[in-house]
Amino acid sequence: MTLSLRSFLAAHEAETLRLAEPVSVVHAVTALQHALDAAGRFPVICIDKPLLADGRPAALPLVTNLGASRDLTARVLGFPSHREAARHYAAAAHAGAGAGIEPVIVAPESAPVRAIVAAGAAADLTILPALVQHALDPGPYLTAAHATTVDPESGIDNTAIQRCWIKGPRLMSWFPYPASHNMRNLRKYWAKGEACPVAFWIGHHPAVLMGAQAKLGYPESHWRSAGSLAKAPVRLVPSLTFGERLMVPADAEIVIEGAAPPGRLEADGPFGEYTSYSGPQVAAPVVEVAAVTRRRDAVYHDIGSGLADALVADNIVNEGKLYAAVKRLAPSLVNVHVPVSGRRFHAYLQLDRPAPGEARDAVQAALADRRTKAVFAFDADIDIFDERHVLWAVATRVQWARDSWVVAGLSGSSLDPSWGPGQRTTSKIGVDATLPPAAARDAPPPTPPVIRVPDLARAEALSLLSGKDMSKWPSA
Amino acid sequence: MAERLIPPGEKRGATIWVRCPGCAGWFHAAPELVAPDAPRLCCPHCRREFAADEAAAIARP
Repeated sequence: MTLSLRSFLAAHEAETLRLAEPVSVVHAVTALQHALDAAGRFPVICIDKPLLADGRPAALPLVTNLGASRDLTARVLGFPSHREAARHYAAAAHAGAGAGIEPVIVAPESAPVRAIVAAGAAADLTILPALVQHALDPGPYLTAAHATTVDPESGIDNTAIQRCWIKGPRLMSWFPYPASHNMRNLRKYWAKGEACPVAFWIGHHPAVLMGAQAKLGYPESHWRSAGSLAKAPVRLVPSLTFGERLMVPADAEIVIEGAAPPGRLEADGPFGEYTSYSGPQVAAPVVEVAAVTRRRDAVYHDIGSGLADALVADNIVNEGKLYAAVKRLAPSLVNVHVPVSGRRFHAYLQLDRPAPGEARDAVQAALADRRTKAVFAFDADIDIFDERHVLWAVATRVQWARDSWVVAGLSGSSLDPSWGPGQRTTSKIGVDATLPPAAARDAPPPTPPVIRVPDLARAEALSLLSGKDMSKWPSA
Repeated sequence: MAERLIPPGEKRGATIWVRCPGCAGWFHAAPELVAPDAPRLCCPHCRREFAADEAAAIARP
């Protein structure tokens, strides 16, 4: 079976909240995601009848919250558990140059995304149920648009999720973050006085989406990592506008093709960001749309920015990147968690009996990643997916003067709300929350033992509680 | 005017707020959008486009 968004939805109907009643694209869908996040529930959300801002029914149904659940995401990727996502993602996407699964090319007549073609004046972005997610967002945004550009020197493609504000039927702003590889490609075209060709593809199987988001070197195609995560080659089709110069996934739901004219910048934003703050209005390139192609019964995909929907999937991708980078330097690394609570900024590293100095090596390596801002090293007995356990280790295994260190002047994100005026780099902290090494490999660590009850007593306690109605007992 | 010396440890924000000359709504903008020759700002409240020097107010940190 060819992987696609619809093959995923068909397989996960039981984990889907499907609403048949009309729901507005203005704030209402995102409010639903906020409510579900607060309740700790992460279903896929399908809106059969989205209503556009002017009250008209949208031409397409809407799906969102695909990436909100770590558990579902890990299962979809074929990982044994979300707790092992870092290692498995690293093995699939960061196995080295030439690894992964080569994409295959299909003819346009065999590409589902080419079923309906609207080119030139027939192209109309305003029929899409693009959401106005948060207060201060100025209009409808594409939030799950995978922007694919090509390095004009090497011809190698790059793909990243980048927001677009729909400003008219054939015009939208596009915000490739300044440090992104797409921005690097765009600048090369603009330096030659040429418009930058770009295709935005929306809606695919989550395994393809997760693989396409792999944090790779430059220039390095993402199709192989997408195939690796999907365990099958990604089917590509030449774009309608640019042909084989710019390939797009044949099994996507929607493809928007166009070009960013050189030097043309317009206001974009404010926009609710991954930090869960609203990012400022910025000057961004615009895209003049040449064509919109889609499946016959296309489904529009949105990603809830600043919510679990965006953060969980994105953080798993970064866990894989950090695991691959740190493991090379610190072989005792066994796991990585980038928790939603820290947005992209925090990373928890788990090490199994690190050699003297190795925990600091690991932390230093992870701090070099542009996204991290605080990196913590823990022993293997700490559950790095339980923040109560994480904070207990920080409270009891850290002497701040000895075990933490601040490094200033590193690259970071200007979207970090804590930045001061004129700031261009960030300060970061490393924390070694591991125990001191034991005198001998099998000896206990030279610290007090953790309290525990014998296994038999624990089993008896659980037996006493079995069947008791706990719902009326105080929970806080 | 000489810049005020910022003591180490003193917190300062970086957000620049702009007031729309049309609807008087406030929104935040990056420094490059309130610089000379910047692209026109666009009010997210009323969609009015205006140059930074037409803003009703700009509150810089």
